[in-house]
Amino acid sequence: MKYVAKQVDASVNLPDRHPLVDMTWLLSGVILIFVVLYFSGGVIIDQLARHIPPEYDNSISPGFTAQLLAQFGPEITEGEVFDDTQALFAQLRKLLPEDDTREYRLTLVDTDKVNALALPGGQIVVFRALLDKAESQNEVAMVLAHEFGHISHRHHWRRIGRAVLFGVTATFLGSQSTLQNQITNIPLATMMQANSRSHETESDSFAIDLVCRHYGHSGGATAFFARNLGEEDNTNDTISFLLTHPLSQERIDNIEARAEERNCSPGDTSQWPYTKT
Amino acid sequence: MELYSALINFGIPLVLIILGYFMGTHFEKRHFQSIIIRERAFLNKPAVTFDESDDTVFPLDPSICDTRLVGGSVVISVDYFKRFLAGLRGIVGGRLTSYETLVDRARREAVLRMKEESGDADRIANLRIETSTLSSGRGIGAVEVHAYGTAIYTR
Repeated sequence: MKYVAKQVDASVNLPDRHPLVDMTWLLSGVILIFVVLYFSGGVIIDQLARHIPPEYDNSISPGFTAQLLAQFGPEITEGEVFDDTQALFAQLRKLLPEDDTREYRLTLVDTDKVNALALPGGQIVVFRALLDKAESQNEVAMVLAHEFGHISHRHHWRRIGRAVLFGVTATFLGSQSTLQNQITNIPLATMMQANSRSHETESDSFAIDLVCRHYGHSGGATAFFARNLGEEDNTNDTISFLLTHPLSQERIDNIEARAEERNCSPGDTSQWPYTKT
Repeated sequence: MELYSALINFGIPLVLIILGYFMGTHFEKRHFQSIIIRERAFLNKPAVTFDESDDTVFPLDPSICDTRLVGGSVVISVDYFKRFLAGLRGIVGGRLTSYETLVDRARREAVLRMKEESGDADRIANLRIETSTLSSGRGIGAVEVHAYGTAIYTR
């Protein structure tokens, strides 16, 4: 038999699907898995967080929050603003439910950023520039009450839980390549933002309730927000409060609606002698 | 600030993926064209996997005048797009098609280089192919294929 050379079909070893089609399917699949895991996990975490007893916050050592606080700037420990803000804080603290046994602490930080935040362990932080910008005591009370709301609703636990969940999922999914992290990070960052907006709404409702109980009216409650409305596009970090607590007319409307629901009508605001323009 | 970090975290990999896709596809296409042309040219120099010196199976060809070990090796790098695709595939499992073309090219190229090295050999017996990965940190950086066999020269 004579050997006759023949060209063989080598294409059997090649994929029959275009790589871009492959990528589209894979990418959408992986993102879907991630989103489902993240959301279902998030719902479970929210449910679990509800059962974290308030005392648990007390187990967080002040050393932990002190570390965070040190990053913000020097602490204000005396002066009239300090005394008045601490007094207001103490008055609002008394209005919290009796079963809330958290050891709340208020720290004032001397910085030009307009911001206030709630940390785990009942630690509330208010930046000096926010106190400068407030035009009435009611505005400061609203901000403090809002931060009480975050802690009371255990938003810090929910955020920590979600961050852990996100980290774990991303580590598992991203173990092949860090790129997957980066790709899946983008939509999730947006979702986390949306999630924290729902936290803001919850805290707003909590805050208006507390402020109404304290003053008996809702005067000045939304003034701080309303005055700074429209500034949220400003990327200057002096108004970071407005960035981390996204403003919208809708939010102000929600607060006012809530106040009306509680028959808490606007009233005369209390003086705040520390306003600096 | 956030915009910059988003650009760095998202933009750079995206550019690398797009670059990897277009450059990778271009080089792969060119390589396959060259492989097909050269395979046709070497059609009359078969490379077989059996051992011709085993005279219990094949009566030794009396016209053989020389035999020599010949080999061809090639290293081909993975492009960013392929790596990304493989990373995604690694999560759900299944055929790693993005590497299939890579390994196919490398294998065929190695065999062709081996045939080129064999000069005016009549055929190549006892063909063996080895594949190894040259890893660069995470994942596969490049694939190396080495093909070797016994070139048989006849009078």
